[in-house]
Amino acid sequence: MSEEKPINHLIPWTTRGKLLVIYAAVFEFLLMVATPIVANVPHSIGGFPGIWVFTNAVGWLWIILGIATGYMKR
Amino acid sequence: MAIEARQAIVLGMVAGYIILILIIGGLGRFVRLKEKTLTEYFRPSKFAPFWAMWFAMGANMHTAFAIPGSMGFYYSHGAAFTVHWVWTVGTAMIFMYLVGPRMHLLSAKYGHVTLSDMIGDFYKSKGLAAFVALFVSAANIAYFTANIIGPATLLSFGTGGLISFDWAVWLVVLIVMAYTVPFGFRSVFYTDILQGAVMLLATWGSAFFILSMFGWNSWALFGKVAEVSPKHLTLPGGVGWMTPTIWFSWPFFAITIQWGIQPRNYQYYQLAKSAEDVRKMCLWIPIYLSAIYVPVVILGLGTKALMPEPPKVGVWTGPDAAFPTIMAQYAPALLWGILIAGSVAAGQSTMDSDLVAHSGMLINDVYKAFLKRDASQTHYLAAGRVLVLVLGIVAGVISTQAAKLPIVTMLVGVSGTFVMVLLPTVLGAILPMGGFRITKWGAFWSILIGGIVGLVTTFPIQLGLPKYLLNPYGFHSAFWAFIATWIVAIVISLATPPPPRDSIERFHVFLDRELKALYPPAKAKA
Repeated sequence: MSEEKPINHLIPWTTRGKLLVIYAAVFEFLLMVATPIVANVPHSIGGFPGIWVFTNAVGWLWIILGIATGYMKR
Repeated sequence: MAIEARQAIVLGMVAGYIILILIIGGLGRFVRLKEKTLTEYFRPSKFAPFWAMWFAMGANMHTAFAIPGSMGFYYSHGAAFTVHWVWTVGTAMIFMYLVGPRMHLLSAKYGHVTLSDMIGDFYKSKGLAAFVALFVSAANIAYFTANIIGPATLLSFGTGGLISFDWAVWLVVLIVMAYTVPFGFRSVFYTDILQGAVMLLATWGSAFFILSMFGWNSWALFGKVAEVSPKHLTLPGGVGWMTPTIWFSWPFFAITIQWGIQPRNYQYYQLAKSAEDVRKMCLWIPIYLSAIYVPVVILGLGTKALMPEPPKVGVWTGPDAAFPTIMAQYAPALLWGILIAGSVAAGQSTMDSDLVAHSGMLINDVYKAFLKRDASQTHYLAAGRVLVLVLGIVAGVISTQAAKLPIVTMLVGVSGTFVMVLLPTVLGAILPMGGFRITKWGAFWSILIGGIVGLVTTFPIQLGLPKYLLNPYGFHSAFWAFIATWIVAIVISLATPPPPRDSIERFHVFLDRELKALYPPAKAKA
């Protein structure tokens, strides 16, 4: 057996890892719980349904922040 | 029968797509097996460039639900479909990011061929591996039909019946078998790249066309929808299904989780050149997964504005037929042809990887492990090819008979849940959870009970059970299956012997060491 002691954590707990976990929690909360409450309006920017605009904004922000954070050194 | 110019163009576009697919999937030197082994056929590894993985895996993940299913969903439920963001980003940024690099590292180290092979190795149980292979295959082989029936219906409709539905089914299936049977997963990968590109072109091209019908004015489009059906612009949507509880529970528990741990994804994680490539691909792939659906709001709701009531007569009726009917009537033949090719691509790009991934599990973890243990690689390779052929034919037959087989509808309905309930088993193998370990029996019972709860809360009436068991308290059945599978996994695991120390050493300690080497902690770096 290896002498190395396993670290019993879910992910490498780096700044990058912490930020990605925070994004997942915040953005999934916004999408799964907040959207029906705050964005359930018929029309919004450019005539598109409010719910479509809100989820697109949240989704693209998550993607942009996720990629930027994912390229941090650690 | 005389063929009209429009039909000829559509046929030409589809024929062009098929020829390209067969060239890429069957003639290119890239798809040839590097060695005649089971592993090379079912799980080739470390050759795919990052950009190609992005296209191919995106196409592989999107099923026929992308084209034409999502347009029909928008037409019925309205803007509620924008809930897709929960899974088109969440799947990759959470589950794929977590499991993808780990599965890649483990397979590279120990040579696991399939997802069930990896599970069996960690829990030291060939029986569990075989159970997982059979359990998931039973549901997903039925789901193959969804990826055949959708494109075949559109292909038959789009050619004005020149290709009958049954012939369209066999055309979709035979093309896939033409490249998967000889070349396995390599051909899946290369064809998926083209299919991914065609799918993007089809949805975005169609969206620009539909918007042009409203003078490029989105206010006019959605203003018209507000007139004909204001319910389509808000929740709970056109038919009242997307309540806050369904919005919360359906996309995450029924789709997000299983999408990241599907057996076909396991094969894909191995294609990347390194674990770091898998990680980066997980960061970038949400762009593809979401971009397919972004313009569909124009397609589904534009159709609602143009055709408030779905077709009630003709060869194809109901909400799913509305968008194709508009496109058949108004779209330029070239675009209509691309859309039909895009639909075929969406179904085939998932079906091919499913076909090879599930055949791999059945050959490696059932046939090789229990039925014929000491045969040569040549034998297993031949058996694998025969199984891909047989499963393809079975899927084709079921597709032509699906309307008469209620069991198929039931299995399709719970196939995602049947994969989702693997989560504790998969995470138990690849993620240390403090002092707690998922055990072999915890894994087995969590899959079985989770699957049963999913089945009962999805189809209580068909099973002769009380109606209140259907999506209890308004939460989707997958939510209850998720809770059940974790409770069972935890309780049984606490009461049964943990995995052997050797498994912890080979999986958890190994991954810990590899990940620390890849991403050193701050103090180690200093």
